[in-house]
Amino acid sequence: MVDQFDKTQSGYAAENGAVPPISDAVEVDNMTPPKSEMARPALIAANRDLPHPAPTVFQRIKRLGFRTKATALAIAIATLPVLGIGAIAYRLANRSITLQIRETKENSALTLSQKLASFMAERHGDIQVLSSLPILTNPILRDATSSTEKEAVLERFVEAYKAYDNITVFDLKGNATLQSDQQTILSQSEQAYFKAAIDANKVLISRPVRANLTGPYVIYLTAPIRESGGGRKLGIVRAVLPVRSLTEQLRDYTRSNSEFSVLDGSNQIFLSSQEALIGQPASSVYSQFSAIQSRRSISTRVLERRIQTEQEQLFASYVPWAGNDTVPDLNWGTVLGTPTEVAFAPQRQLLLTFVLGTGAVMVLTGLLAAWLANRATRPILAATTAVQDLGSGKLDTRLTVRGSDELASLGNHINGMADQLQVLLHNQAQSVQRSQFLSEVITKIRRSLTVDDIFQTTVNDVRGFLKTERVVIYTFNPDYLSGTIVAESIAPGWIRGLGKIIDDPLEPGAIDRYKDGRVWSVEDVQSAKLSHCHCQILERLQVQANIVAPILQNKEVVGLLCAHQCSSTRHWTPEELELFGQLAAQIGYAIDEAHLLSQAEAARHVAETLSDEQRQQKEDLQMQLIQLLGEVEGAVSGDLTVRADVTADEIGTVADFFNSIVESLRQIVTQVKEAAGQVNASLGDDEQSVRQLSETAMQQAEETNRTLNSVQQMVQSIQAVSSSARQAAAVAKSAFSTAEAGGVAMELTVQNILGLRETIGETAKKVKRLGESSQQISKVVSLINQIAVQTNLLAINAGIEAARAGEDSQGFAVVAEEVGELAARSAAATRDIEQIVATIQRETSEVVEAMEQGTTQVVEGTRLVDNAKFSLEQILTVSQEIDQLVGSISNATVSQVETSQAVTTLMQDIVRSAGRTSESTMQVSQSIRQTVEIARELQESVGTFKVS
Amino acid sequence: MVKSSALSVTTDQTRKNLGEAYLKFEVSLGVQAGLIMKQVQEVLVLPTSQLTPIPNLPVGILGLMHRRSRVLWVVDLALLLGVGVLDYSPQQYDIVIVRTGGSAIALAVRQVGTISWVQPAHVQPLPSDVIKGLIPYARGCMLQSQDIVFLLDGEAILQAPILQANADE
Repeated sequence: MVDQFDKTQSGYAAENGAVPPISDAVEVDNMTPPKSEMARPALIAANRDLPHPAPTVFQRIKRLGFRTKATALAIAIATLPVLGIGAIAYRLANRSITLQIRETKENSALTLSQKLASFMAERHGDIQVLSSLPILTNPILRDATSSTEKEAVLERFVEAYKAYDNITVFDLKGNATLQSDQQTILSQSEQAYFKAAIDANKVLISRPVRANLTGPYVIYLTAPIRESGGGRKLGIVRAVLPVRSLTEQLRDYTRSNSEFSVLDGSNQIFLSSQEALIGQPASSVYSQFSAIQSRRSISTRVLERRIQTEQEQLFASYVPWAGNDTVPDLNWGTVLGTPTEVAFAPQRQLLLTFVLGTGAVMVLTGLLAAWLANRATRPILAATTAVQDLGSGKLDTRLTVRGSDELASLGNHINGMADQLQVLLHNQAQSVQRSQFLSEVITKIRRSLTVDDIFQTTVNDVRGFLKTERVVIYTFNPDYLSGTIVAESIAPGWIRGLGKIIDDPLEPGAIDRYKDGRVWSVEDVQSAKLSHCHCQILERLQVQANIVAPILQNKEVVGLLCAHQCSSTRHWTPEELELFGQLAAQIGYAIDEAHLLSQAEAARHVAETLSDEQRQQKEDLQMQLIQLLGEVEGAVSGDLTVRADVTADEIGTVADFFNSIVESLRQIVTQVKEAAGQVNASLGDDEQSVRQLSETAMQQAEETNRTLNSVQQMVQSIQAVSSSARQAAAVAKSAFSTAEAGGVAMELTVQNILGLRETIGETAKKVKRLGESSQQISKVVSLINQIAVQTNLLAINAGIEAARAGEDSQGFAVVAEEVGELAARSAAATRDIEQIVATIQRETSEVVEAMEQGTTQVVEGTRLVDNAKFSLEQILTVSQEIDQLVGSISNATVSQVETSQAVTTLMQDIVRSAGRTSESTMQVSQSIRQTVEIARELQESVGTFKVS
Repeated sequence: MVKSSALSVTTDQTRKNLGEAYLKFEVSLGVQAGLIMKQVQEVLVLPTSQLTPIPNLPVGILGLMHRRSRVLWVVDLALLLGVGVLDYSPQQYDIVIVRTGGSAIALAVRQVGTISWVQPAHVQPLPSDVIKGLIPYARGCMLQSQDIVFLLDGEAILQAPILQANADE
């Protein structure tokens, strides 16, 4: 099956031109014998784990082989430190090299700047020299030299310095007076630099400017020309310094793969190794320019430089103006940049070196570690394979052991374990065989029913199994002093012992030993220490070695099972001994069983005999019964004088009972006869009394009818009472409603009285207020009085003054007097008012008092009305009670009517029942007559019995 | 003092026919008195708060008051005349300031009345049953609507021994 599968697989693979991976594990699984399935729990467990969809990394690591793990660990231990050290070393070296690169870059940028500065310093010196040329300053020399000669001098200067385009001398108005070349120069008076030069008294270096819009940058250096001695300013000497000359100075820097830019004070690039940058503001060219420039000192960082659309990473340094005292501060900045890949090339080389070196070392150490781990794990793997083989049942597998270390000891142990396993397996097989034999023998024994059969079967099988010459069963006589061989199986050619009686008395200890079921064996009779007589017996039977096991019946030793080896001595294995003992025990059990069987048989015999006897007894009893019945037959026909013979057996007892019953019966019949006669006599009496009863019932019915009439009359009168009660109720109701109306009227009266009370209260309040107002009036009046008094006094005083003044003021005195009189009158009037007010107050207080009295009376009236109301309420309650009482009377009459009707019904019932009573009495008299008939019949029937 | 009274008499005689002007006032309840106007300087109502009581003074002198920058003794006239005692309970006194010559005094009376003109002929001598205390100070009396008005002499009042003793002190 596997082969076929493989073939189809490989055929498929051949067609597709690829070899599909066929798992080795699958092949091994299929090839292992089925018996080994149990011995591989690990594999089963692994298979059981397979359905789990995604084992974690941890589980996967756990499942890896020991060798893989050890190798991986070794490689890790060997390589990780190398990697760590490499990384740290690279980090340190990288830091220092970066610093170095930065310093180098800054140094070269500084040098560039200094070079620029020194160049400009030289130019500064040049123009100073020019401005102090004697031919320009010394008036004598100036006049002596012609302008052509002067211009020749200037030309010489231009040629000597090679830096200038031209040198020109201007007068103070800006017109060129002398010039080194033949160009026409316009008046410079409007130019910014020229104005600055006119104003300044020293050498000036202008900002780099373009001569025209697209032209190259030039720098104007100017210096004033002063007359020597006098100090009068004669003109200006100007040297035109093209920026190109600066470029030539800095040519070296363009060669070293780097680029530079020089910025003027407004950060505009006027000089650069990249032509395209000239004229651009620095901040638009260099990204993050402000960050680098803002510090006003040397700073270095990675920038991005843009030329139109093209971008490049630069490692750039910015250096501010590095001039000295000889040159004025031109405020020129310098940017020196190197492309990043060039600048950091050493760093990359370092990284490469470290990566390669570390990698190589790691590979080497890893290989070495893997090899070592492999070598170390090889014996363990070999041991594992061997144990797997052992587990799968190949017990012949052995390990080759070398050396004497722990691994060697492990190998030895595994080998020893394999040996043990082999031995154990062999023993197991033998034991199985023995068990099978034992079970077979037991089955046979159980099948045999008699003791002899059991014995014979046993000895035959035992001899066959043990392969001895003789097997016997020896039963003891009851005294244990001798015994008989009762069964024997013997190989041909040896002495037979069957039926022999052997006197071999057993010691008491031996019996006890046998009772425990112990098996006793002798491997060599000659060498064993045996008692003399026992030894003789064995010699007689040509025994060389023997086994003896006791046969126990009911825990008593009854015999021995003996196996004899006559041809040679023999070593008995413990298994043989055990089997022998078990066999002997089984024989004992079988004997017990056979005993039980025979006992059961005997019991069945006894039971059969007993049932025969019982049948015989039954037949006898039947005969006796028939006889008895014959004797008492006369009793059937009413002859109560018959008697049965009383015998001594059980039937005799029955006969005796029968006799006594018949006697009792005879007595009863006699009594019945007498009683029937008496019944006849008394029934005659009864009939008469019943007739009387019937008549009485008739009378009763008539009387009841009369009673009924009277009851109906009573009902009528009750109804009359009821109607009167209803009228009384109507009257009581009208009284009630009248009382209620009275109550309402009372309520209204109370309300009105209360209103009156309030009105009175308010009036009293108003009157009090009137009193208060009059008091205020009296206050005002007293004020007026005071005023009048004062007026009087004033009038008197006026009079006094007038009198004092003399005759002329006589009229005034009269007026004063009149005023005084008026005041007196008004005082009198106020007094009147006071009196009136007093009267008002008195009267109001009287009114208030009257009001209070009225209030008291109102309260009294309220109380009286309340009392009246209370009385009315009582009337109401009483009339309600009357109403209720009348209602209850009415109800009572109704119930009385009902009761009297019920009484009528009852009376009618009584009449009816009286009728029924008379009927019943008739029936009773009839029944009595019938009873008389029956009694007569009874007398006749009793007469049939013969009692004497 | 005598000189001034003479002066006043002479001036009185120069008056018109109406008679002499008298100031009428009530000394105590029911006792009317009159004082010739020439001797009266002023009448006023004095609140008790403006009367300054002085200790250790004789009974009848109520205390000191000031009027127009002058300090005056205030005398209970009723007590002085022996016709009873002024009621001291009210909040104010009616005061008549009497001046003769250079001295002046304030008389506390029950109530100031009016001015009335009296012909000298109507002046009658004091009746015999008059109260003894009045005699030194009254010049006479007159009847006016059934009331007796005692006409008092201001000089005599100013000469009263009670005031003199006080003045000595």
